Amino acid sequence: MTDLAAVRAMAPSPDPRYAPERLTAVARLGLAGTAAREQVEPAVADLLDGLAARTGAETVLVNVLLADTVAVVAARGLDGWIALAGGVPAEWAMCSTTARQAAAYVVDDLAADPAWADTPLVALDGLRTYAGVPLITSEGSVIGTVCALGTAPRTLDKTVIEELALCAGEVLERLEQQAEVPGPTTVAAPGQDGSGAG
Amino acid sequence: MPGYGLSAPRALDALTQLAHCVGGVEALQRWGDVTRRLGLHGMDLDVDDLQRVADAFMAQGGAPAVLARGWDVRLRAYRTLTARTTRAGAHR
Repeated sequence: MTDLAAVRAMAPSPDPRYAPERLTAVARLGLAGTAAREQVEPAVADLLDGLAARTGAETVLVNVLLADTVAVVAARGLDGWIALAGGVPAEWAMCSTTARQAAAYVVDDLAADPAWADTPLVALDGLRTYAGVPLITSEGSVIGTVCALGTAPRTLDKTVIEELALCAGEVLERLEQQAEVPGPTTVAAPGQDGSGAG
Repeated sequence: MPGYGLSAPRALDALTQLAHCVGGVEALQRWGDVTRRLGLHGMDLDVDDLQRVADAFMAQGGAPAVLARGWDVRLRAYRTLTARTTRAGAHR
């Protein structure tokens, strides 16, 4: 059977990564375009600033899970090649585990964890800590994650997860609000809508 | 690629993802429509051509556009890391 004949014989997959309802939710929330970060980041900037301050994380991210990549749609403290690329292959991303288990995932020292020690983000980019929670729509689709990253090992206690979960809930709320606004208008963060000027 | 080991994205992988989402028959039809419009033939597409396919699917919206954004991120990661590796090699 040729490659194309094998493709022709394929039925839609039950794998949630390819579920049309999940992908449609990602699209509806405006998370799929190349300009998603420009639209989402201003709307959640205050949430990420607060999260970074309260958790002490060097980097905090809002990510969207695509089929086999993880795209960054809002960030604090992100630079380097991931910022340029706009995301990472899913096989390198701890957020893939968070999404797959649809629950919080924490690794205090990635370099000491056999599952991650030899992966590029750890071995080459120096990532050492990860804590993430899933972004789950009201329909139950896991569309992404909110995560906190660091380059030094440290014990991440439950308050970090609580902060991430709180932030994830507020991020989803703002994404939903943004999706309801017709046209290109984005939801302004508190104090950024001009009404509080002066 | 040394270090990161990221392979060049392949058209067949992208098409297979589309088939996972909409089924093989519809995936081939949609893929054929886009590639014909772009003047592309066959599945042996280089990264520039695959980027054009990704851009075209992203412009269509809906679930396939989300898959295409994933191809776009993988293409960007591949280009960024390839350029970085090439620069590092040139400075040795």
